[in-house]
Amino acid sequence: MELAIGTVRANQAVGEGLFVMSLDCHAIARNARAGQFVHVRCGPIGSSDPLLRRPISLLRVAGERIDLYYDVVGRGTRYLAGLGPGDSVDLLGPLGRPFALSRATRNLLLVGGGIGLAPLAMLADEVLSRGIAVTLVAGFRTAARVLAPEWLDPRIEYEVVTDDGSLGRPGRVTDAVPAYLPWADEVAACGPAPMLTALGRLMQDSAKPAQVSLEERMGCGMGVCLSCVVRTDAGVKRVCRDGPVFPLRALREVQWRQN
Amino acid sequence: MATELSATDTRGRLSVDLAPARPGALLLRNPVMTASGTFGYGTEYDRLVDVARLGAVVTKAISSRPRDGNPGPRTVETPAGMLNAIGWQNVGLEVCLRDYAPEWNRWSVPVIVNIAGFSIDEYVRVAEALSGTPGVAAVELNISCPNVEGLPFGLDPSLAAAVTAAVRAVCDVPLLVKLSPNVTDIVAMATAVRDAGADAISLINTLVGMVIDTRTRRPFLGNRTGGLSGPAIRPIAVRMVYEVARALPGYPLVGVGGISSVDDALQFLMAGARAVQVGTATFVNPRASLEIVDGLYEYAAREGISSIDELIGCAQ
Repeated sequence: MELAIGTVRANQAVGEGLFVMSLDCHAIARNARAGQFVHVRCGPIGSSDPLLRRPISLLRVAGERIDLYYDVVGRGTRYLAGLGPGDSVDLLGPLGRPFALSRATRNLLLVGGGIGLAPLAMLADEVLSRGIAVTLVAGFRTAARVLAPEWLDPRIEYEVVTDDGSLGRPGRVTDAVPAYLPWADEVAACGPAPMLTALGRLMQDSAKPAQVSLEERMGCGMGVCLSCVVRTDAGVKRVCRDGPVFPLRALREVQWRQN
Repeated sequence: MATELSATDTRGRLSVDLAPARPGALLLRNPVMTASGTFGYGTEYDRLVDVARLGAVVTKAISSRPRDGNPGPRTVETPAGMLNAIGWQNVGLEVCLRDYAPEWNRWSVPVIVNIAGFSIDEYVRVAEALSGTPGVAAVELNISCPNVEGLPFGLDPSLAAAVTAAVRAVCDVPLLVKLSPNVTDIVAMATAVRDAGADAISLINTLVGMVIDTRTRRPFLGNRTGGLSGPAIRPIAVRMVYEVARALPGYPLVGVGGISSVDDALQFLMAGARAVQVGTATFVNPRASLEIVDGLYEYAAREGISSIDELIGCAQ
């Protein structure tokens, strides 16, 4: 991982409260793998308020460019949304353990909730060139928050689910999963805890490999401050360093934090 | 190049002795240390920070047994700061001795192990095991964690003196005691700990605080309260160092609380600290401590300072 300054190339609204920020940052782009994240300082360089970095998932890496997909939820992300081409951003990354697919996988099912779609889109980019077929089932609150298919590789089969039924299939994203499970050799997912809980229940009796990327509030991003821990079957783990990608089976739903 | 040479020289212009009663036992090549809980066990930042350039490394608190810590949420950001209630999650003494001490023993930088305890007996057991372990240069007693149940060692001068004296009796390496700011009279605490045999005092630990989530109408942290750190607490820490340095002239103090730049570090030295610890700033800027080391060498060169003693307490 590196500490690096990225230069904003574009910062586009891609849905209600949602943005994709494209930055030039060779130091991070050259090493980044799907599932990893970047820890972003969300204030003017040298400012101590807001103090902490924000972990943001990589959506895509292309050459020296990295794309970050984020939801404006507070002061930090509001600051990011106000940046434009030429602005500098203080970045730490890439951080965390990436996805690691089974060599035997030919059909990959991706299950994403909201901005949890980002690492899955990058995973698709990595594996499509190896001839793996990819289906992405993605859930959003409403049509205005759906990520347009132009942001994804056209070879991905993209099924949209909305909570309110305003676009695509109505309901929860996990309602759409059972139809694809027989086809899939492997599953990768990222999204809010209730979605992962439901997926865990769906796959309870399945022997298929499944990995999930967790979203947690973080401090340092380096495994030191112990803010982002989760209880797993193998003990207390740090999402930032031991994860964010974990085997689904290691995470018993009763131990996930509800919030 | 001159900076690099002096950076590895314990007789250089920025070198400090944190335990003058035990000559040579805790000589730092510069006064910049990491703060406990913000630098893990010293190895986590190895890709970004060359620890050999620091004055010392202070570890996460070690308890006699491994601890899982508190339920979440464990931290929350506040104006220019953060609250934490980690609850002493750590690998425990056995893993510390087996996995980390041999690594520290290969380093040229002194490693100071922070010790957590729920009773005098636990502090004594951990300190006794660490004392004399190769790789452990000194211990720092954490009697000031606001996030765990137990006797309030850090809030009562006689309790603080009792635990310090008990550890002193079994501890052959330099002993630092880290004080809580959550007291009315910091000078009384410092005096009690010094008189009980501490070689140096670190101050301050975090201030107890709370954030309420107005959505849920409940305290935000799982532990309800947490310890406030970061730039927000710096003026309080500087004031407390200043007061203790005035009351205990010549006694080694380690200033900690919201230090993120060389100017911040200079404030503590000028208030009377002999060394400083960089804590929360490392979360934001992993190289903050190294930048402060560089900044101090530049400052010393620019101001024509031949020994850091010229700065320590100069604001008194």
